[in-house]
Amino acid sequence: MTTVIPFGPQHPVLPEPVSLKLELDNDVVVGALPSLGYVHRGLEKFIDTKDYNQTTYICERICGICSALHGITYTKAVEKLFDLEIPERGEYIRVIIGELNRVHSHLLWLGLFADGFGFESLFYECWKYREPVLDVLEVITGNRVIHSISKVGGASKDLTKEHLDMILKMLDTVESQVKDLEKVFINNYTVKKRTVGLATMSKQLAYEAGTAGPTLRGSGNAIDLREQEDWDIYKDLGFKVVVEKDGDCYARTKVRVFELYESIKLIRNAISKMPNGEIATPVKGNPTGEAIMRTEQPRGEVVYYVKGNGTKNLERLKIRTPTFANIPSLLLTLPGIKLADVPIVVLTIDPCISCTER
Amino acid sequence: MLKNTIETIEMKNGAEVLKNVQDLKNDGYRYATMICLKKEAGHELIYIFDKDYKLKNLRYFVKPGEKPKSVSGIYLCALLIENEYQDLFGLTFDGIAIDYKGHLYLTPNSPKTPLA
Amino acid sequence: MGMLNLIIANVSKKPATRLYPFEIRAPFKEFKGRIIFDPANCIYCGICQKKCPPDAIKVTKADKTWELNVFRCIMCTECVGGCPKDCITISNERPKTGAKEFIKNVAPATPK
Repeated sequence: MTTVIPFGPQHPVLPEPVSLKLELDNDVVVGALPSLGYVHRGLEKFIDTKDYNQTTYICERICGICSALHGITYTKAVEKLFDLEIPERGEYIRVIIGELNRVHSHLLWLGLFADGFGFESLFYECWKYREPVLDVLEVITGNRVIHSISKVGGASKDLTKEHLDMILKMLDTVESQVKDLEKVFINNYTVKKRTVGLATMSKQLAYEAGTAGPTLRGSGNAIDLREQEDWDIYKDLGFKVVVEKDGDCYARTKVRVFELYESIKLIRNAISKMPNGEIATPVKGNPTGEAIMRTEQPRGEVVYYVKGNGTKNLERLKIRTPTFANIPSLLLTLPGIKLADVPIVVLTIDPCISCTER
Repeated sequence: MLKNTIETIEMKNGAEVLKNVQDLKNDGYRYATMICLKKEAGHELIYIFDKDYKLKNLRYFVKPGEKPKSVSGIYLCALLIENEYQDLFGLTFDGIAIDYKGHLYLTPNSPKTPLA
Repeated sequence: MGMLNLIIANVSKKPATRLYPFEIRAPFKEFKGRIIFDPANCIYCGICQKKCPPDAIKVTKADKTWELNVFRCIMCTECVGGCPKDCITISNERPKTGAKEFIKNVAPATPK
């Protein structure tokens, strides 16, 4: 005799509304059915009325946490339609802001995850360490979360020497604070008791279920789109993939903590190697053809498809966000776990529902 | 004439799509996404698969009124994207694992098939 | 033992937040606060209206009016860069609460 309980759209642990109908047998979940649609805004239809430059502002506002890389991927896809070469300094500015975005997103997730099993003071500490990162972003770009650093043709703002010194000083503080956080999330007895062995996905299952990001890398698959050839600037900065073998919630937490160190290293290398020169090239004409561009957001792999037909409006824009690819894996891992552990399992895929539903 | 195109393999009918998708799965490819465009009177579906950071794409034209076959029996993650296109474009897929029947995003009193 | 030292230090220090209405931090230089319009050189060409992504600016050439919907503006600064006569600038002071929704500017009629 099974009961159906709504893990409703409103839940204290979820940052955005998603509804899961859980079928329970006493205390153990036997089935789950997701239902979406609470924040669907229909953003893909805006291309009918806005031209290809104004669509950059729409693409950035799909999500507040991962907004820099949405804008960067869109502008790189449209630049493929024009066959443009961007000056190197513009690419370095985009990478620095993209990696700063990843640092603030992972610190936000660490805070939410700690709140999921009741460590409220740790939640406040993680978000307190995130504030200097947002202050630095505000000094450089003018806004805390929606940066508009990328436009079709390059970067929109330049970085001066004071800005770069400020970033380096902030990174030293953040790195020593993350070392303290690492001791709690990785060595604490309570955290290990609640996350080790929970919702394990084998390497084959994570690959075939189409997952992306730390969910895929926590199960032993070394797939990270910062190694691809379409955007080969990461090879010059000495990027290494972070992989863990076990496939449970503890492994996914470790992946995100070690990615923080990796991002800090990438930003330091980018600042030391930054070339001088222009930051943007002028763009003439209208886009034609089709192009696909993929990059690695904090939550995984995002795929952008654009098609132009010679007018200044695009014909089709399609975005596949990483949480969209990770939700079917919930249907495969939720059966068999207890009801009290459901919030933790839902949080380890890092759900960003406003990205999923655009 | 399109100057920049993505490389695709053309499919002639539904059975050929299923056979190619099964071959790609046995080969070790990962399902990335599926794109639907309006083209002439019908729709065009582009399936995107990925292995070792290289893409392989299949293109298939759906005539008006035809019901394409679902690949969620082979790749489970395809069920979300096929339900999304049932909502937004008015297509009907045959044999999806979980069928929301046009109500994944849209409520009963919202505009029907906004992107069609 | 890093966290234990941290907790003891937190109890003895003053809070990390600012007491907002009584202490206000000065805004940063690059902060996008509000749009300022100077009608002295405006030729009512309408380029700012074409570039605005959320359609917050309305310009009519015949009546010589320029209107900005402050609540719709997303501070993207496309109008600042696009104006041929540099009539629009962005300042870094935050608008006070109770700001009006529309900033409307009608050029004075020239006496004939």
